[in-house]
Amino acid sequence: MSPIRRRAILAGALAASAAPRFVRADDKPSKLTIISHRVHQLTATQGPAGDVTAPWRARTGVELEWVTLDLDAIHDRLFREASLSRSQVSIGFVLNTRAVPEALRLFEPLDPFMARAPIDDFSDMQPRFVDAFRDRSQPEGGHVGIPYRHAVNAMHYNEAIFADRGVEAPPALIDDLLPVARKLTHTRADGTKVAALAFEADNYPMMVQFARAYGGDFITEDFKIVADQPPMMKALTLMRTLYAEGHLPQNITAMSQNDLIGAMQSGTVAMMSFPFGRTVLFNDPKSSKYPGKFRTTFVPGNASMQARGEVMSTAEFWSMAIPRNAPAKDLAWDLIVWLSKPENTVAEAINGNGPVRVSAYADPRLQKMVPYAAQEATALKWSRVPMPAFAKSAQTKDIAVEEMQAAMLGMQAPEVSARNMARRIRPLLPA
Amino acid sequence: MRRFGVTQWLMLAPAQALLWAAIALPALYVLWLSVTDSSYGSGSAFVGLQNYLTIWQDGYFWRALTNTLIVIHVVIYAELVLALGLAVAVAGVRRRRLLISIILMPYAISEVVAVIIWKFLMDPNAGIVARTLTSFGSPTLHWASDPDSGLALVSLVSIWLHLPFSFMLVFAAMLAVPKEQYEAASVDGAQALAKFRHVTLPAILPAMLVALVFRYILAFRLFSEVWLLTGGGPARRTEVLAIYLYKQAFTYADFGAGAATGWLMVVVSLLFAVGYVRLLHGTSFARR
Repeated sequence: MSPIRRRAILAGALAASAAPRFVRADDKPSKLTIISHRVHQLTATQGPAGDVTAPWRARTGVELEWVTLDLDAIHDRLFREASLSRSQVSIGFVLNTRAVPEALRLFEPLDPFMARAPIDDFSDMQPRFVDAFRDRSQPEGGHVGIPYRHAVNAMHYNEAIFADRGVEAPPALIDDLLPVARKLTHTRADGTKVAALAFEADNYPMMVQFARAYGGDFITEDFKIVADQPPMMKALTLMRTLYAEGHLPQNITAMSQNDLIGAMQSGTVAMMSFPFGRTVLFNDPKSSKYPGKFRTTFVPGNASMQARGEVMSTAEFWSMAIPRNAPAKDLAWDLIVWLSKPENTVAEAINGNGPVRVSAYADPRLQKMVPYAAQEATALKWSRVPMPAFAKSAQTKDIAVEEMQAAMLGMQAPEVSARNMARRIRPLLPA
Repeated sequence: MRRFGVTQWLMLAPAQALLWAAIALPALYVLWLSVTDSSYGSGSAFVGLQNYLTIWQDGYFWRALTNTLIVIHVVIYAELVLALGLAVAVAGVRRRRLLISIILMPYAISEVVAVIIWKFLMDPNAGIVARTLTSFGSPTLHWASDPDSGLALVSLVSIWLHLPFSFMLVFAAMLAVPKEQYEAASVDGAQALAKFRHVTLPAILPAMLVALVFRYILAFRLFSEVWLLTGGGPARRTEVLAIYLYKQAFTYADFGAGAATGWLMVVVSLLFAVGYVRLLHGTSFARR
């Protein structure tokens, strides 16, 4: 056998590096790169309904490369990739709060693709979700994203703790929240404190839900800030009282999603506002001390909402988009059409996804396998985004969280926080 | 001495090219970015010193700078004192392999994992360390709700994580002190404290300065300890410069402001480290 010479290795390396130049741009690639959160990959490829992408991969002979990242990292990577002259990313998942005009310009207009190969029963998709990923300067069309997933908030509660504390039901009205919390908060015999309520305190949806329950809002859909109105002041005062009286975990501002899930599973929190799908984790016998004891209900609202049959709910949602500089755009669109098919939407929902088609909740398989399906359908019907998307929404979120935390921890009066919020956010809003 | 000619320059060129490609060019690109208005898909527009001016007028920058300076000064001096104390203690022990392994252990743990473990241990409700301290009558450390306590925990975790670095430098220097010097000191009637003061300390001073300078520069980039423990909260009160930079560049997608913050970090850390660098040069590298 002849020895391998250094010159041969160098020649081989040069030939290999030159090879891609001879591949034609319209050749079908062997794989499609997707940037997403891990939950998108999991719901599309794993779970009781199986791998939804398998038939598509078998038909096209194309494999999928999922690059899964955390929330900020997804958008940073995706927007940077989409800003380059050329990218290897064919599909990116974008959260509605990041769907600002500047970002949407980085993605391919989808109407020509829809004209060539339409999405089955497109009108069945939640119109609000579809509309959020449209170029609003165009009266019709202007689609740049196709909804894939929603996360609608529920109030999860541990019925074992409720029974121990003699509380019959979770609070339906905002005015009942504090009295119920006072009954639920206690210290166990082993010295562990059990807090009545927890939520993501490094985010603002709970504050907005409280303000809406008091009849107010944070930022209206026509970009008016109303945070300095009495309902927001009442919401911040409630948060302050809940924290000061020990009904929230002491370290709530530093609790990550995993910390919150752990607190629920270990029974150190009795109620938590989180997306519906999390109930599966809370009830998981492998990791929960209270498997089967967690139930879902709606976040407390107010009497007039109740009279209208309306429930309190905020939703965030994800859409699939094709970067303007993506390779194999037709193939990417083909996958989007496949993942959006009504039967696949149901399968993804059975795998744990929040389905974006209204009809999915009527599917008997989903109703059988997802116990909260009916509640989630109602919550989805009434859900609103915590705030509309605009260019400075990331800065706005930071200001809201900062002022909320300052009020909740007693660093400043709730009224001061509410007024600061309005004063600081107003200049950031679109004219 | 042979003349330094073209051949020598050519031999140095690959290393120099690597340094330029890996450090100088990216740094210059970031400098250019810092004088532009740049975001995703919008290109870059020259804005002069506007980004620096905006940061200068931003109260959050000054708070982050103050927090950074407080934490790094606490961390590097505490680390140095502890490293010196441990080095002296370990040097006097015969079978010390196990002890050294224990001291070096934090360096073998991923920084992210270590911080998450500390967060878990210090959970005021369920953390085993927090609960043990409380059971001994210690007041609860409200590190998530009190910014001062938050920064104190950040400092503690940072010291724990990086102590092995300072320890190794100081301990290695201590082992290198010639035995003859101690014997001569003994002959002169010096006691242990006098030997430490007049033999050990002067001999290990350059190593201590190296540890100090390196830790100064590295500590300025403090990020994961704060990000994972407090996230810069509550109410942005524990934010440090690296988190301020991260927010500007990657949360707000304002790359110009992020780049300007990066350059300001370089300048401030150099200003603070320059005294030690001069001292180090004087004690170790100056031609005598």
